[in-house]
Amino acid sequence: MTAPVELRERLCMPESDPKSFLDRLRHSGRVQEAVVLSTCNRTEVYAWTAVWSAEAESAELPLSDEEQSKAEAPQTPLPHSIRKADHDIIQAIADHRDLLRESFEPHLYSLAGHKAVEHLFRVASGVDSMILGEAQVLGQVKSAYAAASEAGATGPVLNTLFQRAIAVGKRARTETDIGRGAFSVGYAAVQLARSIFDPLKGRTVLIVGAGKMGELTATHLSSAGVTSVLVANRTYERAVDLAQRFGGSALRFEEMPAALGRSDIIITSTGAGKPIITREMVSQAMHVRRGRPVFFIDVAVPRDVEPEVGALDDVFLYNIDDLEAVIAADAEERDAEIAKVEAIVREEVEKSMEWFRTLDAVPVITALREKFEEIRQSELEKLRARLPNLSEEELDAVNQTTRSIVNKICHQPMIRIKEYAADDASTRLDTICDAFGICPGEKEADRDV
Amino acid sequence: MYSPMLFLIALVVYAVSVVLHVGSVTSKPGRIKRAATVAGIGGLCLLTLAIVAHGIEQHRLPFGTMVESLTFVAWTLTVIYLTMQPRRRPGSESSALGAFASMLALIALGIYVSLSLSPELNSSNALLSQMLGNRWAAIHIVSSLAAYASFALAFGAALGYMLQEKLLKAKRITMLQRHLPSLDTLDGLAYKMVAFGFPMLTLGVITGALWAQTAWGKYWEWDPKETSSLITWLVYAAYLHVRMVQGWRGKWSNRLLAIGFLCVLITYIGVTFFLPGRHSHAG
Repeated sequence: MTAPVELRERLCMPESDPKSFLDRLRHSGRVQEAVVLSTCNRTEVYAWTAVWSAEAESAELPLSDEEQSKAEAPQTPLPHSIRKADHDIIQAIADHRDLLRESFEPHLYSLAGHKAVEHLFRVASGVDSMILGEAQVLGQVKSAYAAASEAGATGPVLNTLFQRAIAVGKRARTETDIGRGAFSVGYAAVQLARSIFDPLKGRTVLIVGAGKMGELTATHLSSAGVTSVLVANRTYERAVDLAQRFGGSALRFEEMPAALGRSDIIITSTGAGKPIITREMVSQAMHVRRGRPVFFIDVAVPRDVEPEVGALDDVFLYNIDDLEAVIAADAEERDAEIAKVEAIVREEVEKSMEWFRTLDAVPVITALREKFEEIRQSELEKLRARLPNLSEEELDAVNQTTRSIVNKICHQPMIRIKEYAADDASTRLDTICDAFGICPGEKEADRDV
Repeated sequence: MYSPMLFLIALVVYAVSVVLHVGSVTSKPGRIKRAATVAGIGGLCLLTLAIVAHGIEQHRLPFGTMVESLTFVAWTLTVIYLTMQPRRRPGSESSALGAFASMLALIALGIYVSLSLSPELNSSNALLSQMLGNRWAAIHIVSSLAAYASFALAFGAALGYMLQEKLLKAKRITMLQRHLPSLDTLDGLAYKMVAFGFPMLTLGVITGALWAQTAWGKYWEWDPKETSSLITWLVYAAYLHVRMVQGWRGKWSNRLLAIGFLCVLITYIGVTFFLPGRHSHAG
């Protein structure tokens, strides 16, 4: 992580409003397509710039500018035109956030071409995240792309690239276990609850105490489908308050032991110095439950539930350390999946790079066709001037013939152009351009270069 | 004599199906899971064919002897787990059930195939044919064997329950723990199996008594098989009573299923081999 948190905060761009930034960026001239991916940990600008020049072939590839992150400087010096586009991006960020570019520039890193594609795919598949494999980031990539696309900032290149990135993210999650297991205490609690109860829907959770961690765990469980929530707290008002948030009901603290019997999951997070739920209480509650299992989640430190409770039949007691151990074990298993994900990423990057290379062919082919069509049209004009008496039918025949001549002439070169582009043989492409006197992409060429 | 060959082919397909089912427990839902189901259905078709062919060749009920009955147990196990598959979104519990059921079926079939190779067990005998000709014989045998098969699956679910419970108690959240179905699912599965098996066993005991009446003139003679099947019946009756009437479940109801299956094993196999009586399956 190269950027301190204060800086990341300032660079962070709200997802809701990328339009003004993207417009500003594209008005600077060099950047044609752009997407901003901004989360709490990263602010990244993906941009595509088209510059047709022999020495800057990789300028044909998208480049990205990423703040935060490992200082992963590109091995090869960036082509001049990319540095220019980088400059534009940095300036746009500075203007947008009212920052001095010197204040954050050293914290940035920039990747181009192959590396930029790879980075995006790694981000989407969760292997670039602080918490390996976390699922949120894929959603963030999706919404960043959607926002940029809505703002009209994406085009054929970034559309393709981001759709592929999203597909890579999904592939990584379905084909490997990178997104599997628990990422947080709440998540671990849900996972364990699912090993006991099926379905979670219709279960009752009892929250004892108003600790933050307990509330968080309950939130996870409630979004996993637990429907009925009871809250017991020493201060009744806080219980009411918390119960309202979950649409549940509050209990007086004295009612808690009686409520144990009708609760499937019990989360404790009081600030009490000694256990408040005793073996005796639970033993009585279990008689009411008649063997229906109960899951205690004790996130309080010091513990709220007597450890002996865990020895009772059909009682499953997990304290905060137990849950942390589950998380750690799952994280270890995800670590083992990195190599598989990286292999998927490599494969997909290779496919995308192939696609990029064929992109090189498009402007050449267009220019070639335009050139021939121009010649054909002007010759037809001349013919019409010379022989004004030609009938509509005869003109049509000439038109047809000339068109098929042009097509036949173009056929072989076009196949070759596609091949050269795919082989990355740009000097050969140049030779073709030279031979036919065409200069594709002239309109978009960066004249400053 | 096509049936020995057919049984052998069915055995091979069952082996493949077991491998696929076990594989599908730990893998994500998808191709392996579908292949396992296809192999299961294929194996069942072959087995059905083999049993029918065997019946035609012997001119009698094709699973009248002790050894032959294994083929029908395998058949029932397969039918049960295949019908229990959810149509849509098969989850890990159906994979676990499929793995366990197809493994049991494979063992039953394997024992049958290896024992049927010895000629004295395979010999057709007139007395047997005559016995099986009784009108109660078919119902008695089919319903008893179907009960055994479903109790075997109930035991499998109970085993899964005890294992899951143990892992959760010991806080060993391993791969195995995550691929095991939830306690609720396993408990429900065991209950369903007993709910099917118990009436089957009841029917088996009643028709057995009727058979005895028509064949030997007495409904009940307290021979070892009769006694132990009555004990089995009582254990499962106790389970259902505790479960349905008193609403008890969890650890102890699952222990009861283990005891019940022990009784099944004694009734089905133990009595036949170790305690002489009129059920010793001549042949």
